[in-house]
Amino acid sequence: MSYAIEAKEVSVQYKDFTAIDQVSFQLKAGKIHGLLGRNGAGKTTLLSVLSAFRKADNGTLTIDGENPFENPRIMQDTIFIFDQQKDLEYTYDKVGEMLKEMAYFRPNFDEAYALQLVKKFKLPLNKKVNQLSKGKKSAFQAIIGLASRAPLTIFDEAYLGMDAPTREIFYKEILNDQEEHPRTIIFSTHLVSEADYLFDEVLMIHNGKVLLQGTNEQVISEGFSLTGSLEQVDAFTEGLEVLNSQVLGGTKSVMVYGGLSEQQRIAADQAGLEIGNLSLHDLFVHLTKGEEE
Amino acid sequence: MNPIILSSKKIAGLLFKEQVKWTIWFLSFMFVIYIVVVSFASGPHSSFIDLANFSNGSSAIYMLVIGILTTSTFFYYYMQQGAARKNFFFGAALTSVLLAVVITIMLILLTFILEFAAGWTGWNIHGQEFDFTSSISEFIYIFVSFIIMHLIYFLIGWMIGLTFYRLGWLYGLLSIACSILLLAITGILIEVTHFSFFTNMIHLPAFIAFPLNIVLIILLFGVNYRLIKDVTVKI
Repeated sequence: MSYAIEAKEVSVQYKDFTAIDQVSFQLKAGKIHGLLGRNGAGKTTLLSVLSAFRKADNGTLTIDGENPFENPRIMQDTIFIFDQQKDLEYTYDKVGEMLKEMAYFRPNFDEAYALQLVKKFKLPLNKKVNQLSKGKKSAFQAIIGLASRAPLTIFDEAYLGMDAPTREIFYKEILNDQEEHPRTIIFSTHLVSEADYLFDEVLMIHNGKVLLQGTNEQVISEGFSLTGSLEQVDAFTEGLEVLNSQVLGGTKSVMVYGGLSEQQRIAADQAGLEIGNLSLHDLFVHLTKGEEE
Repeated sequence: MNPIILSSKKIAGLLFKEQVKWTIWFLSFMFVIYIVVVSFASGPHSSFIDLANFSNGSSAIYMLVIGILTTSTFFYYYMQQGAARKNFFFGAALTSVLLAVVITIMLILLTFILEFAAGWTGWNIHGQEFDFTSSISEFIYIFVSFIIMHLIYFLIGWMIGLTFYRLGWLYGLLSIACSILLLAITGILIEVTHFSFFTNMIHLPAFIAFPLNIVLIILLFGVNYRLIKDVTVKI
């Protein structure tokens, strides 16, 4: 079971600061969606609205066709995993006990799978949660998020404190379990380069607005790289939106935002320019660059 | 479609179980402290056994504290588990009534046990400040008064906790000021409460005080519902 999401003109205001500014998007059911944005872009605020932790000030939001706010069915079927390091400092129950408790609240919780994950993440079942290291606390939360198999599962930078091998296990488990038990997963991150292979679709937000949305391939095809002699690259990119450029001797390499027509592609080939793909990371970094850079 | 796990009834059950556990701890500590004090003190101190003196001040404050924690501890937890605010509110409301009844019963039982133990061991302690053993009607009057007092203290605590949570420290402080006023009113309405400014000046007969208590309770439930029904869960 998985839920589709539709947001129309959703806004959230904090006094005189607009955290989410009339965003509209659709998230398909049963996919892994990467929510990308820099610190303060509005990711967590948006996720709070999706998980019914907060009411949107304007706009309409539907999850599985219904408004999620104060909707017991949608709220029960949504799990929101966010940084709870501070809260877990005061959790004196043992890991095993806590996981058992979760099984009580979440209808699809798979306790056997949770125990498998405990082994994979090397969590001590008999240790109190507050005594776990930062990375292990995050792993504990990741286990709850995965094993709950909620139709809408939200991970908001859930990897904080995990070391690289643990993050790798986490990402692989998301992919494996999603394949066997499809659900809608929203994975918010700014560690784009290491997690981009997870995403079926990408929603990039910046300053509270949607910057890009589409399948991973569609989003990546929004930009390309061009390498060649300095003069030819300059001539070719005139009028194009150049995100970044590097010059090494007489060679210039640029990142360009925008699609490339077939004619342009042929012209580039004839000019001896090398066309390459941009990574999601490149696009994210350069599209969300602020004035400070 | 899965049935709703965290219904009001279920939340009430879970909250009640947890809060009764806390209450037993609290009363156990009270009991031990009492025994220690009575063992070492004699004379006027031993009148501490009195139902009101032994329990009333601290149990009311205990209810106030549980009320304050209701939002930051219990509400926050159940929202993370996928509960709806409305279900939590009605669950917590039901629990507050049940807890007010249970803590009163426990206190009265403890007092009886202490009285019995005092008689048996020959401790020189006098009877209650409040007469609840002479007749059934007196007992009911005191019993209901205590329940109402405990409930009002809980609801006031809940209101303070919610105001801080929802509106920040400034309104939170205002809610404390407002609570002091409400406690003063409670002091007038309920004879057994310790916290009162005007008891000596104003004495309301029960047939006026009880309906006013009910109005105050309904008002507090209403305010708390307004505060919780669309509150943002802070993360």
